[in-house]
Amino acid sequence: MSLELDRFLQHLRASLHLDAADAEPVLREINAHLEDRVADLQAQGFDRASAERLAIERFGDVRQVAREMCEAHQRPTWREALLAACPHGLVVLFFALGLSRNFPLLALAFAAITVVTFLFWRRGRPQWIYPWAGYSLFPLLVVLRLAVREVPNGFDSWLDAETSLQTGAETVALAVLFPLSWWAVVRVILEAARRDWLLASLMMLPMAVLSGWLLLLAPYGGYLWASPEDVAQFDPLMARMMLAVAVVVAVFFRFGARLLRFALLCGVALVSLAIINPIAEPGTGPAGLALRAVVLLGLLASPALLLLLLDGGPGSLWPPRGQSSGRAPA
Amino acid sequence: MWGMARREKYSGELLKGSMDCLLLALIGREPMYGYQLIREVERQSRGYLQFKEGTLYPALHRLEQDGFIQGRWERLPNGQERRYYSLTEEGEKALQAKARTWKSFAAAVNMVLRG
Repeated sequence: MSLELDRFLQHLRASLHLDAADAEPVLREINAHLEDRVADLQAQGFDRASAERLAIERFGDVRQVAREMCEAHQRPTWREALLAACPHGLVVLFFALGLSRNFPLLALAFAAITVVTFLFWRRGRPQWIYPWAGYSLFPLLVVLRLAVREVPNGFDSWLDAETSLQTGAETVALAVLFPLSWWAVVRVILEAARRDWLLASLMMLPMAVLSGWLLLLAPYGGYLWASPEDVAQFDPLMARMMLAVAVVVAVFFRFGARLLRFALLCGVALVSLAIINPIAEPGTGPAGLALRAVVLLGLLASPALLLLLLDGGPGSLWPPRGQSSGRAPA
Repeated sequence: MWGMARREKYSGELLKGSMDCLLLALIGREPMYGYQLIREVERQSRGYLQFKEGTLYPALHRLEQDGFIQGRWERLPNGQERRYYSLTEEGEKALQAKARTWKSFAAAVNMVLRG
């Protein structure tokens, strides 16, 4: 295969957002088509290089082809949509039953979610697993939060020789786990984004909505340190909020257009902010609210941004536009 | 020139709307691969209908996902591979339904045009 066709197929591969098992036959078929077209054009008198350029041009905009191909392949059934909404439904149950501070049950639920994620992440990574993967990151986020709060205090006490051996060991463990957790979170998000940044954004949705919950609990010392009664007062609100997220996730899977799907994710995150912010911080002005909205949208867009930052250039998200046209033979 | 561009756009929209029906009809006659379908639709319409090449494959894959057609790889003696599509039983039914709809639609438009 020539460099020109190879480059075109590489761009198509990068834009397809399909599993390798689905993408390979698509690329093979389109390659066969382009080779047929090139052979026809050569028979009409075009040289090989011009025939290739013309074949690529006639094939059309690679982004549009990729988008339509994704829509043809990524049309999950209602069953898959419900599977995607399942972990959100589980969180709704925790809030509705007032179990949001029941640590043993929460640990069990997160362990189960992580096991399901691990199994299906390795077995073809179906689209419905991404919301599950989002929740699997929560234990790591708890470690990060603990480390940010406890490690500086722990080291200060240690230096002042006020700490016990056990507390010192916990501080060191958290300090070691901090970079490891960061690495794991970034790696999972990046791996998801490389498959499809939109699915990675879907993975981030519970973080965006539950960050509002943490905002509600901040005046009480934060989730881990607030009293169970303080935490429980927001459970009914969060149950309704997460129910809305579960419904939106199920609907997300039935939508075709990618921009509409991303808008849906942004919409539910912004609505949650609009509901929570006046309760958590009634004094926030429009500028503060707008800033929060930008941060929230940034969180949802972070997989795409991470992809741009680490994989470099807009080509990692979209292939470059425009293929030069072929010359007519003299 | 402007009128020509408008006519081309109109026929493009019409073609997009009837793409599934045309593909099912062609594949219903004999198993065909993508490039062959493009040439056949052009030949049989005497050059009037031309599929946008890139949009053909998503349409084929959509029809396959819907269970109307089935693709299978074949290797030619020269080593080249092609994916031939054939109509499924469900595709036959869909073709008949789409053809009926199209004929009724065309007849209704003709009636209005004739006045």
